[in-house]
Formats: sequence, structure tokens, C-alpha cells
Amino acid sequence: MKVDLSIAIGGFQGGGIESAGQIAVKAFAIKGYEVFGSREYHSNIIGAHSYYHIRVGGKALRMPLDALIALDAESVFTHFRNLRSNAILVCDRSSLEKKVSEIPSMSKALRERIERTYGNISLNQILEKLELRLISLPMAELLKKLSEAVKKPMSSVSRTLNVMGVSAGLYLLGLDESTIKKAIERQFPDFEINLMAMEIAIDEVRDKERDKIPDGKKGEKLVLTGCEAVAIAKLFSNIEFLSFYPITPATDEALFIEENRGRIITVQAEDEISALGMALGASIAGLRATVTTSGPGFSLMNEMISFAVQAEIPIVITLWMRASPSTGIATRTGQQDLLHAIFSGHGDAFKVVIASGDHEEAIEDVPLSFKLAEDFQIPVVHILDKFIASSLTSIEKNKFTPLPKREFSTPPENYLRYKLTENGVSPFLPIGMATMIVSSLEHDEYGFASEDPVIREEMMLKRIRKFRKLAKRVSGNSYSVYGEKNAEITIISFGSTKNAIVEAIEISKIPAKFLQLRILSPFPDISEEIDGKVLCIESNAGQLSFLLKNCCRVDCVAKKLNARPLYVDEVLRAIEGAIEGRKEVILSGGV
Amino acid sequence: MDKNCEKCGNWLPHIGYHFLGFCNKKVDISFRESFCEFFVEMELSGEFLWCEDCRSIISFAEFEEHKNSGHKIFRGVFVDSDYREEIYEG
Repeated sequence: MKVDLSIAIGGFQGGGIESAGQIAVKAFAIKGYEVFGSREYHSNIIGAHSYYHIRVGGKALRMPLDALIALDAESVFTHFRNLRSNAILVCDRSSLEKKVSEIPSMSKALRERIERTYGNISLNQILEKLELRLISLPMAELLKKLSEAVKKPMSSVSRTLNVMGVSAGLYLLGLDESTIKKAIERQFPDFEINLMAMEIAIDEVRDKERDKIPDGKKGEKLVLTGCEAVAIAKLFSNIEFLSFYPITPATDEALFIEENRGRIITVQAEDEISALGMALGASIAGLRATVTTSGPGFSLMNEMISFAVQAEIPIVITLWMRASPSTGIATRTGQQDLLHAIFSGHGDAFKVVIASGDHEEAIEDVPLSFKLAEDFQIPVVHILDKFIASSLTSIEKNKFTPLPKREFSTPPENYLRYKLTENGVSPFLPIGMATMIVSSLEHDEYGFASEDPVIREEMMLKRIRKFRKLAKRVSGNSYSVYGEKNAEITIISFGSTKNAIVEAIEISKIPAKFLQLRILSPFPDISEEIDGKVLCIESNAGQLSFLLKNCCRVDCVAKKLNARPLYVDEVLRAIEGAIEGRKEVILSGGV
Repeated sequence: MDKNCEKCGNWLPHIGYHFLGFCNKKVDISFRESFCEFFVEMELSGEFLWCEDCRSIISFAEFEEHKNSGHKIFRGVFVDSDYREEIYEG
């Protein structure tokens, strides 16, 4: 029996939604399932609705939901339209009388949308309209029980409400008590009170109808967020220097490295220009260096990117893409920095842009980025959607591969830092091992500033040769192909849309193939791969389709503009739209 | 129902859970609908207040406007100090 579940855990921001979601993901991973969890939260610190969306038995999110664990009334009002018939709803009993007008934190726009359709409806009235398996927990009573059981004031046990809700929900979904217990112990190793909370919540629902799920595959897996996956991959890549300026979600990655840094130098710079400047300095000195940021910070790094190109300094810039422009929606996902990444820096700023589709690819792409940066002395921008950053997923333990440390040969007598070579790549030695000049000015082979037209032309041609050589190196690995040959439709996309598209083409009635672009600069030639109509799917206003039009036709562009992740069912709708002849499909899934 | 925690001057509502709050007298959580012998009438004063409907701090000058709109106003709000997991940068 294949287990395929879509679960949401909702509550107010600050109520432990992330912890509850992580407990659920860990529990299903312990049970041996492929599991993926994505957190959606507001950019304010506390109070607003946030939720965790979990997929069990797949790596893409799908609707409708099979279960909703709602820690407050707002979560039910927000998600009830996404519940399938006979879905499990776990909620607080005291919230059932609440009317939509009585939810202080709900956004005016959402409240008005609900009131327009249903009027000022109460939760009870909503639930009467739906066929659900409602489990209303007496949260206040459970809290009292826990307080008495552990002989502690309620103020010190009230923060276990999230554990109570998720424990009851997971138990009803068929997970056994010992698995839930293990997951809670991993989440909160030093807080036994949570285990008591779990027991009390499970006791409350013990006599209710439960689903049954078999054991999944044996073998422990790692459970990591995208930020952690990238951070660990950088540690495996033997980085020696990391600088950053705090920004969502890059800080999570940087702090993980800082906490586990060993001998790595980590610096929180005063701004992003300095962060990249410091990292370039470290790279010139021979260290494997990297920075991490997101859109607004990357804007500040632009001047330094040009410097890295001109001075031929290896550097890896991790760029987490949020919903832009400007601060935009700082904690939500987007793919709006694609063109910014490719065209960053002024002048002929040749660089590599790599896009990862999920956690596993991110783990592969980190060492690849360093390899390309160092082999070709060039900036590499590794772009990842915010969706990947805070999503939690199960990963095989052997995914990480070490990258040997940078090695340098003995300096020759007459060392030329910018020696003109056939492939454009000059010998790299760290400053200090040989005499050299590194500056932002155009230069001769030694690095001395020069405005001589012949030298300028030679250096331009050298950098062009280098980039052509790089393009040749990566040409076989620039994109992945999924699905059928001679399909009726070819979907082209990049980044975190991958898993939703891969799953959609497997179940689509229309024969479809998918070209997932992995390296976007140098841009791959995919013209030979096109079959049937061309559908471009992207979470921006059409940046990839703009690039594609240089090498192939694009019949339809499906755009996800609401700063939410792409769902499997949306891809199916986009395919239908493209086949019907629509030029543009707007995908609006998610709350 | 006139003298439950919700109406008591010792009580602050929880920022997230509607049914919960914090009693400054007992120095512990208590439920919105509970009663006890320590009840004191709530007096709204001070520079800032908490509007539960807007889920935000308001200045005393805004009090009348919120009250007239039917909003529930309290002297403050209870936020658990252990909510660090939710704090993110801009």
C-alpha cells in the first residue's frame, strides 16, 4: 500500500508551528517514509497565521489536504476549503463557536473573501457543511491535566499545546506512539514534559477511529532544511571562509556553519558589499570562500561581482530567492532573481548561475559551484528558491561528498597572474606565494594597470575564451530531462518547481516531458530537446521565458506570482491550459 | 460571567491562544472564562494598551476609537518568552 498524505499544521506565529511541523516530518521519516515539509510564515515576528504543509510519500506539495491540525480557529478558517472529503480535522474545542468576524489576527482580505462566500459563519456552521472526521480536543482541560501530572504551574506547560495537537493528529493518521515519542525526543531532547503532553493528548483520542499505515522503508535518513543541506554541503566542500550580512533566509545557513565551523573563519560583515569584499580577499589569499544572501543583499554585492570577474577571483555566492522586488514578502518564496543573477555586475561580467531543484540537487551543486569557481577563476551564483530554504525533507545519509582542499603548485620564476593561455585560464597562486597585483583595473599579464588597446583586447578575448571553455565543460550537465520522448508538450522550468512538475507529468493524461534547467549561465541550448508545445512554468513574471525565446519558441507561460510554492495540481492545470492554446496561465494555489 | 478572568485587572490575554491568559496575581496561566477570589475590576490606564481585535499595541489616545468599534482592549498581552524559534530577520 502506497502511503500518500498531504497534511497541514496551522496556528499563530509564535505558537510552535515550526516545532510541530518538524516533529511530524521526523516521525514519518523515522517510520521510513519519504517526507517533505514546507513552512509558510509571515515576516512579522509573532501573532499572524503560519502553517506547515507536509507531504508524505512524495517530495512535492499537493492539494487537497488529507488532514489539518489546527491549533487555533484561524487555521480552520484559512484552510477548510482545501480539505478533502472525510479528511481529519484536529482542533481546539473552545474555538468551534468562533465566528469569522471574531478572529482578530486574520487578514482583512481573507476575512472578506470568506464572508463574501459564506457570510459571518462560525466554525461549527462550516463543519456542518463539510464531511470531515472532526476531533475537537479540550485543550484547556488537557493543559490542566498536564499541569497536575507534572506538578508544575500551567505557565510552564502551556507551550506544549503544539505538541498535544500534533501528537493527537499523528496518532489518528496511524503513527504508533513509539514513533511519535522518538520524533518528539529528537525535537526536544531535554524536555520530558513534551512526552507527557503527547501521552495526555493521545489518551484523549485513543478510542477514536484511526487510519492504518504500514512501515515504510527501513534505514535511517537525515532530516534537513534546505539551509542546513547547503551549509553541510559547504562544510563537506572544505570551505575556509564565510562572510554574510543577516537576511532571511541566508542567516539560517550562515549560523549553521558558524555553530559547526571548526577552523572555518566566519564573519558577520557590516553590509553585503563588505561581506563579498571580505570573501574575495580571502579567496585571493587562497582560501575557499563563500557568501550567502538573498535578493536585497545580492543587489548590494553587484559592484564586487564585477570586480571578481575582472580580477578573476573564484567565489561562490549563494542566493536564496524570496518574493521580490525590494523587501517584497521577505519570508515567502519566489524565482524573481533569475535575470538579476545572470546579468549581475556591470560590464561583460561572465559568471556561472546554477539553480537547484531540491535539497538533493543543492547538496550536489555546492561542490560543483566551488569546482567551477576555482577551475575557471570566476564567480558562481548558486540560486535557490526560498521554498527550499525552510523546507524540511528526508535525505539519504551518503549524499554528501567531500571536495578536496584547494591546492597550489610551486610558483615559477616568472609568475604571470594573468598569463594569456589557450583556454583563457591563467595559473592561480594565492597572494603571498608569488608577486602579483590584483586590482579592479584592466591589466597586463602581471596585473599592472593598462589602457593599451591591444592588451585590453587580449584580456577581453582571454576572459571570453575562458567562459567558452567553461560552457563546453558544463554543456552535458546543464539540464535534466524527465518524462516521455515525443511528448505532446515540453515543460521547461528551473528551481524548486521541479518536484511538482516531475510528479505532475507522471500522472498527466497528456504525454509530457520536462526539461529542468540546472545551469542557466552559460545558458544551455535545448532546441534539440523540444517536443510538441512548449510550456514554461516559473514563479516570476516571465524571466525564464524571456531567456528561452532566444533559443526556442514558447507557446505558453504559466506564472506563479502569489509567493507560494507550486502544487502538483497546478502543473496539471497549466498543461491543460497550454494544450487548449492559452498563451498565459496564472497559478494561484496556496493560502 | 461578569467577573471572569477576561474582565479582571490581574489578567492579560495570551497573544495566540484565545482561551488562555496570564494572571499577575497567581503568576500563572489561567483560562479566559475562569473565576477566582482575587478578581479586581480592570482599569485601563497607562501610555499603551493591547487591542486584541487588531492584535497590536495601541496608544491610550486611540483607546476610544477602538472601544467604539467594539474591540476588546486589555492593559497588555502575555507573550511566552520561549518563542525564539519564530524570530527571523527582514
